[in-house]
Amino acid sequence: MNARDRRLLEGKRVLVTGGSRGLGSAICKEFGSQGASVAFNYSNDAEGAAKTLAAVEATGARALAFRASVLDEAALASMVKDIEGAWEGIDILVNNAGMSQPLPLPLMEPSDWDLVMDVNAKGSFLAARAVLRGMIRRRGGAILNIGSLAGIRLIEAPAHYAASKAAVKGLTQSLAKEVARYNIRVNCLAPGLLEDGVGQSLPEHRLEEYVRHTALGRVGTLAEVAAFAAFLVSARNSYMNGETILMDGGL
Amino acid sequence: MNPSAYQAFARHVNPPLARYLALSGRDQRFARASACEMETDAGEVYTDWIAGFGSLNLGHNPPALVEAARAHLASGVPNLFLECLNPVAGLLAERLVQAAGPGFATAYLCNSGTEAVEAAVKLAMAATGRRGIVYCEGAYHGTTLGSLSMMADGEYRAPFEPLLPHFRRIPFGDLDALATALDAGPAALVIEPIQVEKGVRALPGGFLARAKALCHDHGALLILDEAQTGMGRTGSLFAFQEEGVAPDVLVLAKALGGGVVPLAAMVAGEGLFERAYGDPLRCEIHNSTFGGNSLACQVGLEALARLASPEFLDDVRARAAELARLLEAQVAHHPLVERCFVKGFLGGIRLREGDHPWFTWSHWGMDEFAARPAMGALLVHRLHRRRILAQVCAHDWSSVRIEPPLVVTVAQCQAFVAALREELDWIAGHG
Repeated sequence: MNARDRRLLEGKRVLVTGGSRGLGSAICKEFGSQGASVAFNYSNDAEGAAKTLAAVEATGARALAFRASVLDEAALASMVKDIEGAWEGIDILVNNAGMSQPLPLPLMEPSDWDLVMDVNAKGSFLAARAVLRGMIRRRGGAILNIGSLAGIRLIEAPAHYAASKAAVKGLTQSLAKEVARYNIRVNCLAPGLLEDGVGQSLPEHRLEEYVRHTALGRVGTLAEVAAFAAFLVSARNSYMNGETILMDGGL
Repeated sequence: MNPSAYQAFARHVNPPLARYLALSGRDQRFARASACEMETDAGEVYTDWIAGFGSLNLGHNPPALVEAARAHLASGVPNLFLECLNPVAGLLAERLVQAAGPGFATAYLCNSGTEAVEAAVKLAMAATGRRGIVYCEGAYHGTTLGSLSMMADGEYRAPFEPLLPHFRRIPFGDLDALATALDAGPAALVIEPIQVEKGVRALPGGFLARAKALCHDHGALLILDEAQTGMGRTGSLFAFQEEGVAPDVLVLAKALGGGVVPLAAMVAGEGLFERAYGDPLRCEIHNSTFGGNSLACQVGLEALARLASPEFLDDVRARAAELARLLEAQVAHHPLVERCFVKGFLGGIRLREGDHPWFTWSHWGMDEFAARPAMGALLVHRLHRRRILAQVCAHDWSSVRIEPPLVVTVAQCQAFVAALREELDWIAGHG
């Protein structure tokens, strides 16, 4: 067996939401190196998207980039149609697009709440629905929702961010139950604080406190999470379903 | 209305229906209704395209009929004239006989369509001395045992088999089969001019005339059930008037009471009542305590006067023609639509069944319906989300009925057809 045969996602067609930077970009590159064709969307960062595109293609993989908001149903439908037209289907969806705002409750407006909930939770729902139409027809696939430690454990995090990531956990469970009959698995990967992640907007002393409580004594890397994400969506992970897996260095 | 009253319905009237309404998001608490609209206790307004399955031809709570009821109740006139001459019933019967046309003589008044159908069947048996009844496949005449004996196969009749003997089914619209069935010497053929519950399908042109001739050749009566097609629904006061073929017995119900009171009638041809019940010993062997009660008849007189008005019917036809034009332009040729039929304000849209697994009863968690078509119910659900009340046909879940109050406006028709088109596009684009 050669290196190519050992690649986790050989021949798979993947859509990653929010692929222009951060964890999304890392996932795109990792998945490309694992043999997948990788499509991703981005909302604003055209420069970041171009870099991700180049990085994926540098692995030898096919890559497509779309400027589309996860909250725009028509844009999502159009993007899915284009990917399916080019590659005849989507096997894997990674719901990575997300955002946060470092706002304590008294300074949080209803519009702030709506924005974060929409992007993180509603966006995952809309993207899943857009992709599942084809996955269900083809009776197979995998969805990985990117959650957060903040949606599971009692840690310091903005209320809307924590609520939205808890919603993603619930969505994972419900969706797993609903689409398992079509041989589609749905899981959630919930990282703790990562380098270049949304948690980087924390004040320095809060970051130090977090690291102090982590068994491994450090934040995680994007590459570590991306590598595990590749396993989670691969055929080797054939029996895990509806699960939310914490990846936090041992908090 | 107290919210607990709605819960009382769920507990004490029809619990499984209440559960299904909750599951399908159709458990709104309607508290008010007027013309073509129903309003919930939260102030949400829905447009009604079911109209009480053809009972609300003058709309919800038509002011003139409500006022007629109020005035009558305040008048002190007896409501029940049992064993007495009933002047209000007399007036209504006279007007019905006149409206039905030459050859009609008496009207038996009762409280519901199925009662009127059963009255017609018994009249035919008593008048002819025969027992057999011929009916059509796909029929829906009511759910009491006599009418049920003419029901299409399925869940409505299966739990009650065996039903009445001597009821023979023929294929819908099949004159040859009718002729064969009539050879056995039945009392009557019972038929609907348009089978609404079988997807709103009309008898072939010319069938009624031939059927009447065949019946009479064999000494049988033609009973026409216009409970749903009558009272202006198809653009004429009675559907049979369009072909100019009067039955021997005409069944009316639903909109006869204006949707305000339960009222039905069996209007019979000359001499039939005498043949069946023409002596003091037999004249009351078929009766109904509240049949012909003066309140119902007073409201019925008001409803009949309005629905029979030539000006009203002209206006109905004009607006219905616009609805037909809109449906033809925007809906009839949609890829999901197998058939679009409309006559007056009675229509049906039959949908092709989709093939996407997530548009199935099983995916929606209702495995008990898994053998049934799903697209009609899906369209009903999508329309409901837009606050349009619609429903599938009882014997054809692929067909969504079009049955608004006859006072529906052109603007409401435009909005309805536009919504239909958008939702058909949504279903096509998501399945």
